[in-house]
This record gives sequence, C-alpha cells and structure tokens, in this order.
Amino acid sequence: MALLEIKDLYASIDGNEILKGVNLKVNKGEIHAIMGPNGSGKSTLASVIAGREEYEVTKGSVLFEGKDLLALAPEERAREGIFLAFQYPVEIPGVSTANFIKASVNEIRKHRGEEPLDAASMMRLMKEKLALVEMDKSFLSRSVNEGFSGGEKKRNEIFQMAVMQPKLAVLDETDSGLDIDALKIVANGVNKLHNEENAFLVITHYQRLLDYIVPDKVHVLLNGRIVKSGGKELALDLEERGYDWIKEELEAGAPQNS
Amino acid sequence: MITANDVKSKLIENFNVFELNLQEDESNPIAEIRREALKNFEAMGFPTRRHEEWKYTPVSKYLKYDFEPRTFTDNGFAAKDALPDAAISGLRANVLVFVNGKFQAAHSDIIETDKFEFRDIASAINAEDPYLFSRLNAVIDREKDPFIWLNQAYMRDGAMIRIKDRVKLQYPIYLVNMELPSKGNYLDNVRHLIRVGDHCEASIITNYINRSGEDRNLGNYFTQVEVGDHSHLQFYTLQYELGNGLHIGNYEVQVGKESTFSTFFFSSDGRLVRNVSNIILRGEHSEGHMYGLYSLDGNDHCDNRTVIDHAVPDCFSNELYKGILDGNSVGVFNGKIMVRPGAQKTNAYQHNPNLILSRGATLHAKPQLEIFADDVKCTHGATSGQLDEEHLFYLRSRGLDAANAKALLTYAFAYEVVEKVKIPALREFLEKRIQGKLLIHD
Repeated sequence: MALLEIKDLYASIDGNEILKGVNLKVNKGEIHAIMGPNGSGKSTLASVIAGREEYEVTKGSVLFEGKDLLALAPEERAREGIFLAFQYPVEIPGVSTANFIKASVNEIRKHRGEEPLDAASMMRLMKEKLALVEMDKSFLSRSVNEGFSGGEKKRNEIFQMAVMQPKLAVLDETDSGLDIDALKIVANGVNKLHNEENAFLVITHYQRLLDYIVPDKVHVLLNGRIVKSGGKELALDLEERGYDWIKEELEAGAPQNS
Repeated sequence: MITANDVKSKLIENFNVFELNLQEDESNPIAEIRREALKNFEAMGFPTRRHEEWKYTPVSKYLKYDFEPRTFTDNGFAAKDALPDAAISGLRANVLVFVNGKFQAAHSDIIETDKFEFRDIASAINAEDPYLFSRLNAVIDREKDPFIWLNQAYMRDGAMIRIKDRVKLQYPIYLVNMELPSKGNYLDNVRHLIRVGDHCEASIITNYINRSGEDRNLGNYFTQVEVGDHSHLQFYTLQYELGNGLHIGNYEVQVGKESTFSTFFFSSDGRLVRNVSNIILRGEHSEGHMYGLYSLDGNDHCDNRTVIDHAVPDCFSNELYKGILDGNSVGVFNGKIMVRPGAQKTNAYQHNPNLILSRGATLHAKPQLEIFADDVKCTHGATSGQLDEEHLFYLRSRGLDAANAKALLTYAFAYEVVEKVKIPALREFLEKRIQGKLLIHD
C-alpha cells in the first residue's frame, strides 16, 4: 500500500479551479519533488494535503495509509503523521517555541496512545533536534518565529519536523529566500531524518535544493496537473531548459512520462 | 420598577441619615464639603444616553436597585473567607485591605513603615487633616462626572498614602478593595489619595473584588494621584473578580516634571465596569504610559475612557489598550489625547486593537485628538478583527485542536500588554489568569 495516494484530484479556491486532476503515488522511503512555474498549483497541492480549509476539493480522493485523508481535520492529519513545512511560517508572540512544541508533541503522543513526555525527556529531544538544524538552545525560549530571520523561520520548520517525526513531510518552497548556507542546513536536516519508514514531498521552484536533497522522482505540475514525471535528471533538464519545452511537448501530444 | 431617578431622589433624601450614621463632628469642615458635593450631584443627576460621555454605557439600565450607602461593616468573617481571592502567589507587598468601603487594619500589613505614611480617610476626616481637605477641595470642576460628586458627598473611607521624597519602595503597595454581599443593595463610596514625592520609585496594585449575587453592590471609587518631580510610579488595576457587581472608577493623575507614570488596567469581569482615567502631564519632560487589557465574555460590559492631557511642552505619552470580546459582551474604548496651547514638542501615541471572538460581542471605539499646538507628533489607531485563519491553520497543522489553537492565539494577542508588567509575581499571576484552561503551560 502506498503511503500517499492521490487520485484525480480537483480543488478550487473562491470558485477558481486550481488543481485539475492530479494523480500521485508516494511510497514509504521515497523523496518526491514537485516542480512547476508560478501559479501551477504547487502550494495548493500542499495546502490540500495538509487540510487548509479555504480550498474546496471538488473531485477525486487522497488516501493516507489507505485512510481517507480529506475527511480529517488539519490537526487529525498532523496527529496521523502529516507535516507541512510552511512557505511563510507564522509568528506567534508570547508563546515560547519550547511550549509550542511541547503542546504539539504531546497532542501527537496522546493520539498514538502514549504518555506525555516528562520535562527532562522533552528537553533532551528538543536539544538533540536543535543540533540537527544548527540552532542554539536560546531559540526555545524565544516566541515562535517572532523576529526570526527568513532563514531562522525555515530552520524552525525543519526543527519542528524533526521533533514531530512525521510519516509524510511536505516541504512547501522551503528553499525560497534561503542563502546557500541555510539551504545546506535545511537539506542536511531532511537527509538525516529520511529513512525507510517515512517519505518527503519537496515542492520547489528551483532545482538548487535538489542538489542537496536527491529525489527519487521529479514531477512537473503545470496548470493544475502533473504533466511529466521522471528521475532526478528531469530537474536538471528543467533548470537548463525551463518549462516551455514541456508545454510544447504537451501541445504536440507527446507522451507524458519519460 | 425602580429607576435611576428614584435612586437619585432616595440618595438625596436620606443624606441626613447617612451623616448621622457616620457621627462626624458638626463643626468638621467635611460637612460643608459633603453638602457642596451633594448639591453638584443633585444638579447633574445620573447620566442618560443623551450624555455623549455615556452614550455606549447606559448606566441608568443598571441603576434599578434601591442602593443604599453602606455605613456598616458586618462582614468580618466573610472578609477572612474572601481574602484568599485576593492572593497573588509570590507577591510580597505592603497590603492594605478595604472591605465594604471600610479599612480593615486586622487584615492589612505594612512592611515599609518608614518609607510612606498611611492613614485611612475616615481617621483623616475625624482628625481634620489639612492635606486631606486640600485634596478634596482640589475637585473644583463643576462639569465633572456625577459619580465623582456622589463619591465626595458619600465618601466613607479609603487610603491616604504619602510617599516621602527620595524613597524607593522595595515592595509594591497592594490595595485590596472588596465588596461582600449584605442583605440589600449597597453603594460603597471609596476615596483613595496617593501622593508620591520627588525622586521616588514606587508601584501600587489595586485589586477590586465584588461578590454581588442577587443583591447588588455598586462600588464607586475615586482615586487621586499626585506624582512629584523626577519620580516613577507604576499603577496597576486588577478587575478579575467583579462578577455580578457594578463598578465605577474615576482616576485623576497629575504628573510632575521629568517623571514617569505608567498605568495598567486588567479587566475581565463585571456586569458594569467603567474606568475613567484623567492623566495630566503638568511638568515638562514627563511621560505617561497607559496599558489596558480587557477580556470580556458573557454579559460583561466594560467601558475604558482615558484622557492624556499634555499641559506643558516636551512630554511623551504612549497608550496601548487591547480588547478581547466574546459572548455577548460590550466593550467601550474612548481615548483622548489633549495637547494644550503651547505644549510644543509633544509626542503622543495611541493604539487600540480589538479581537472579536463572537457574533454577539460589540465594541465601540472612539479615539479623539484635540491639539492646540503646531509642533507635535500624535498618532492614533483603533482596529477590530477576528483571529487570523492562517495563524489558526499553522497551529492546527502542528496537531493542536481548533479550541486550543484559538486560546493560544488569544493569549498571544494579550501577551503584548501582559509583558509590560514589571512585577514578576504579578506578571505570572496575569499570565495564568489569561492562559486559563489553555493546554500550554510552563
């Protein structure tokens, strides 16, 4: 059974149809990259998987470990093991990162029928994962994302992901606005977390991130549909040639899978 | 049915009985001060909706009980019972307790006896204290709030606090004001007079507790504060335990040169709460900081009015009042910045953001600028809105359910005010009060 199976997915926002029949299958242990020009529906796909309520699914299905994902509230999806790394993480003044993560981890543990972590174990877990994204302990006492630089916010997303240990992580343009050092830290975090039991869906505009996070599959999303899928070399092709040749291929009626 | 007019008539008719009960000396100048005030109250009467200042707080709606000015305190045992409600964990303070408008020496405890003078107003009246009379006579504006005149006519007791020059109080002064139910509806008029000398540092916490049930208590408080030169005073007001009670608070503050006055209002309860702060910066290079947080629910009605009066040049004021409104609550904010002629180089800022959590809640916000000088910087803004959907989604995507996510974001909204509190024990107390049933605790 696939970890994630999207079938003929249509979704719209404010009456505008954005996704127009997406099909995608992600197995445990895999890293998939979704690429595409602006406005192709990449962030919409991430939003629908995570459960953002302003998007309306008009057709199709999304199964997560065989369960109907679309029937679940966002928090239930998180507890089931889905994590969305936000393109624009939210600032929450007055709530320390440590308290926020503690609440989050314990909600997930409760869902799994586990006891809440005691203070010492929680601290150990957080310190261990902080090291992964090269963040200082002082982050924990700072308010969530408040006054963080763009790079710090993205590292905080990866840090939260590391602590929550999701089965499926969706990275929504996590590379945007990052300098090369921060990009390497983020990629390194992902690579260390990647194992045979989880999967990653990396949404990106640029090939750059994929130099560091090597995908098993690359998909091109264009006008709300996945129009081409391939191996990691497809990303290099896109970097070199842009998206126009794919549009031309489509118009010429060429096969969609290389 | 009893109307506001009936309440007024009865108060005026029964004034003699009240005076008789107090047993003040006939030759005491207080008699004249009281009668003068009563005359002013009679002329003004209780406000109606036609009074611009009372447009959104229809006080006559609440004046439907036959309020009688209280002249007894038979709640010794009940006070002891209720005192734990005023406890703030970890707070060491100079404690002054008033129950039903009367000072309770047995429950009070002054640690820093050498640093300030305290006298209860009832004793000061009987001793014909000249400082007291000078302050009472300072209320000369005939147009003032009728509740101020009512207070002056019927005042029974209160705290008279004078902090000597060059004193730095180590501990806050904690004024506990409790109104406990007696059989019947009662009016308590309490006067607090505070004088902070020159080159001082002090903080004062006032806490209001009203245990009204079916029988109502109306607490009518008037607090006058004078801050000398080169001094710093923080003044905190807690209104978390007003329940069914009615509460009117008038505050008049004068700030001397190169001094800082900071005021904090935390209101979260009360059938009718009205706080009117009139702060006059009358010495150059002085500062006024005004913070407020009103978090209302159910049928709470809370009206905050502030006037920051820049009477002289080169002063600074900053105001941040935040509102959280749920249920069918009503919030009123009226903030006025007054810049007098010649008060050049004034910097004055005012901000009033509100979070509306329910369809039934109502907010009336009215910022006002009255500027009679041309070289000034003044800004104001009032906003109201709901919780940000994107913020809610962020928290839910981390596994928090919608209720917890809402509570957490509401807390975050409130925190901007709470973090300004400089007394650690008080800040923790407020954090806990606001977090309430939140999942997130330290």
